[in-house]
Amino acid sequence: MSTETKAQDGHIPGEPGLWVMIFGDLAAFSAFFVVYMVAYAGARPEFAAGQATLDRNLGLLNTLLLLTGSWFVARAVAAVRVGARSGRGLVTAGIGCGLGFVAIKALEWHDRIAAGLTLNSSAFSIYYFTFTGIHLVHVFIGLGVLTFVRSRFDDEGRFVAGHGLIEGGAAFWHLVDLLWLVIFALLYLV
Amino acid sequence: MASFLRDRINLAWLVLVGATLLSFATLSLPGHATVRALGAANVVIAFAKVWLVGHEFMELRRAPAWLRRLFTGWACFAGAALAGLCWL
Repeated sequence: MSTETKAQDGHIPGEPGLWVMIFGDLAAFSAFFVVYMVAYAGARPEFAAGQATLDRNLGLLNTLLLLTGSWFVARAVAAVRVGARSGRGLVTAGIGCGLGFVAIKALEWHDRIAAGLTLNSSAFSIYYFTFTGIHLVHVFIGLGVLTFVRSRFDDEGRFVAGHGLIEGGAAFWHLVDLLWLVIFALLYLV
Repeated sequence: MASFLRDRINLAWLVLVGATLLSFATLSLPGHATVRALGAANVVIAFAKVWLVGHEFMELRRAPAWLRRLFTGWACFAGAALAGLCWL
């Protein structure tokens, strides 16, 4: 079955006001990232030592979870557009991936704090907890948005709200994913 | 499998996962922590992934040209700036 999954050309996903918020968030995080990289450049050995305390496998797993969660949500938008009944299940799967991310992040934080690597342990630690903490707030907001979107499906899987709602909710969730892609690179890989 | 790959969303996800695994694999390269080019390369890969998320998942591919260009411009500028800072 061929499905039309794309929006009309020239269509702003969600609504214009949402994109003002998205670009504002991107600008703020960009400033954070620049500050981090300047600090990193001035203290490479210390930051490398801090990075060595990270569990990079958990960072990778979290990245794969958010990418897959975004995939589920993007598929949900496509399903709603063609009237398929799989949208609610796909949004649920996206929420599941987000909850998985939160669980792994909680494990990471627990292990770091148990090892005595708290917020003020080092300059790297300050950046690690600040970046991942602010990002985690975005994850919680995104999960709330997705949960609300999920509630707009009826018992037969029809989306009963306007398409702008699921598009906008999806766009915010993809922003959460997008920000993590940069955080993962800067904190775990660089 | 072929029908799975014909869908842009699916293809984008595969590319994103593959790029993530490729970046992660660079951690195994000797001198990873000190070779600045590797760090810069991972920043560039990250922002290429960011662009793909925006273009495909966020559907900017179908958005008005000015919005698409604004996002692409931000991704290029931020990516270049952060990659460049790897060499400070």
